[in-house]
Amino acid sequence: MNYITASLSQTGGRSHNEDYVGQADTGFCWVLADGAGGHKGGEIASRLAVERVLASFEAAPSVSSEALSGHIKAAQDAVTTRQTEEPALADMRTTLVVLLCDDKSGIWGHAGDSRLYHLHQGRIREMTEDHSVVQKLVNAGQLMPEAVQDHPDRSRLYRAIGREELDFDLRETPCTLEPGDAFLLCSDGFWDYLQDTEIEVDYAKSPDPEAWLSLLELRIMARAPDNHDNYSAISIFVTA
Amino acid sequence: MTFRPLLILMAISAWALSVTAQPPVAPSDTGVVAVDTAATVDSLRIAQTDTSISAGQTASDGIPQVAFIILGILLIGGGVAAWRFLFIPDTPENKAETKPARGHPVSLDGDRLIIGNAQDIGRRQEQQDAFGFSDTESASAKKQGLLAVVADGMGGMAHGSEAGRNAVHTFLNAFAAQDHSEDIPAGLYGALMQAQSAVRGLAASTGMQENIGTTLIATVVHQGMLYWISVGDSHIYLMRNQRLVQLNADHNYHLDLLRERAAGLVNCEDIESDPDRHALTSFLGIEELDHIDRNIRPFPLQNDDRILLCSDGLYGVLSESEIMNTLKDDPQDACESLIAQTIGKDFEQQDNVTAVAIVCEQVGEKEQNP
Repeated sequence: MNYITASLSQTGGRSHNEDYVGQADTGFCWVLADGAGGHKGGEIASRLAVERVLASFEAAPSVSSEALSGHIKAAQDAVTTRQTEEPALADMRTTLVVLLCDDKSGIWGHAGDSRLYHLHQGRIREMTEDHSVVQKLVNAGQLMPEAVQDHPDRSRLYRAIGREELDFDLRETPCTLEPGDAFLLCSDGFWDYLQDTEIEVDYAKSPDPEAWLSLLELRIMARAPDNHDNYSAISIFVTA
Repeated sequence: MTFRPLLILMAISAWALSVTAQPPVAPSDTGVVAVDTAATVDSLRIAQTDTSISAGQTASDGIPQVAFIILGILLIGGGVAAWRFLFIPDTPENKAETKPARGHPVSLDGDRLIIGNAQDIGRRQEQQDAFGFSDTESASAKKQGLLAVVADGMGGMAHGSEAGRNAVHTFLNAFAAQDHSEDIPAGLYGALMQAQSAVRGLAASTGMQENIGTTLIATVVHQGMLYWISVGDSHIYLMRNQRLVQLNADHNYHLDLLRERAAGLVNCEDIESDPDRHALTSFLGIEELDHIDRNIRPFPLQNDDRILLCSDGLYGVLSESEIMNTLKDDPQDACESLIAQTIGKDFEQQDNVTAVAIVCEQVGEKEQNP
């Protein structure tokens, strides 16, 4: 199994880009984070988390939920240590989504509202569930999915790296991959303007992962207001 | 075939319409071509203009009373023929249904589809939109699925309508003449190239290369998968789970501006205030056909997916929620209602308007014998 990838991370209509994306130099690991917090805390938190996950993966590049759990805990340690060292950054937080793959399977985990979509035979087969207050309301049947975008609390998260208590979701066991599978990791500034079906439609059109991101970015450009959020994404095509 | 009398009736009523309502327009410009083509090319069925709506539209034009009476008789006849054609009351599947679809039901290789279509000239002098389907009983459709094509021609005098019709006709023939059942995207691409040659040839023969062209959108439903190809700014929509998604991107300057926005060069206001944003950047007849929107991998369909092909005369007038609310209905009702709602807005410059809808009643499953 091989992987071809592309990524983008844009400031959008904001003054700073608090999103950060990265991939391992050796082995197959992709990470995306979306930070928040004053005094550049958002930028620092997302970058710290991504870099620490990659370093932790490269030291122990196995694909298992235990290994993945270890990488995410390492990111939490890095961010909370920095919070202690620099009290001005005490409120910094970041979302985190991580995908690990080897030559036959993949496993992923996340905290917050950055997402991972797994496409199989052209369809979204799995996607992460946001750790957001609005998602909880949707699950409880108290909010229609269509109303999420207009909800005042839509960016409030109940899980994130940098909070006192660390909590995150992991896929329990690795997922067997096939050529033709694809992944999309993205921040809320990216998926906010997209429908799930559009992710499938633009995948069907794309000869390579870069084209996929470009097509989705054009849909965002057609809808987002001038002051829109940072937006970032990583796309991965699984090939033979 | 029950289809023939219907076509002849439609031909006559379309002709009557064109001579009464638009004296300067040749009879072949209001949908008669569709009839000509269907009559001469056995492998194809090209649908015709919706006469009931066209007639409603001409009522304000001060036509002599005799013409109204003739029109009325023809419309009643056409309606009865259409009813007979669309219901197909003899087939066992239809007898079993409590509420038979008004649209034309088709079963092809595990896909059960219902088709609808409607069209109106708007307030233009001629119908430059054209559309057609593959003959669902042909060997090609059995192998390569259901093909639907819509084109929106442009050009002065009769050239726009000729470009649109010519493109649809060429595309349908080219697709049917080959067997790309293992590679539908290649079949669509090949057919598009032939249509491009045909429109270029037409433009050259009239000496109006700069002024003749047409958009073209085409969809194929084959073994539970959807394939499309598009040049220009006609729209292909998919309605799924009460939401509407546009499958193709508009080939106009607006798309270039969105790319510039992604590069940080322009903002929303620059884009919305640009007077050229609707200018087409790709269409059949253009010298270099560089931009083609299509899927290169099969797009998996689900039961109850609804596909709409339409010209800008429709989506430029109706909102997405109006389209969605209407598309929930039987596809023939939906298309007629979409056209009626568009015309009902009563825009002074109302463009030609065309709607073709396909409802995926059941897709991707080989039929089971009870």
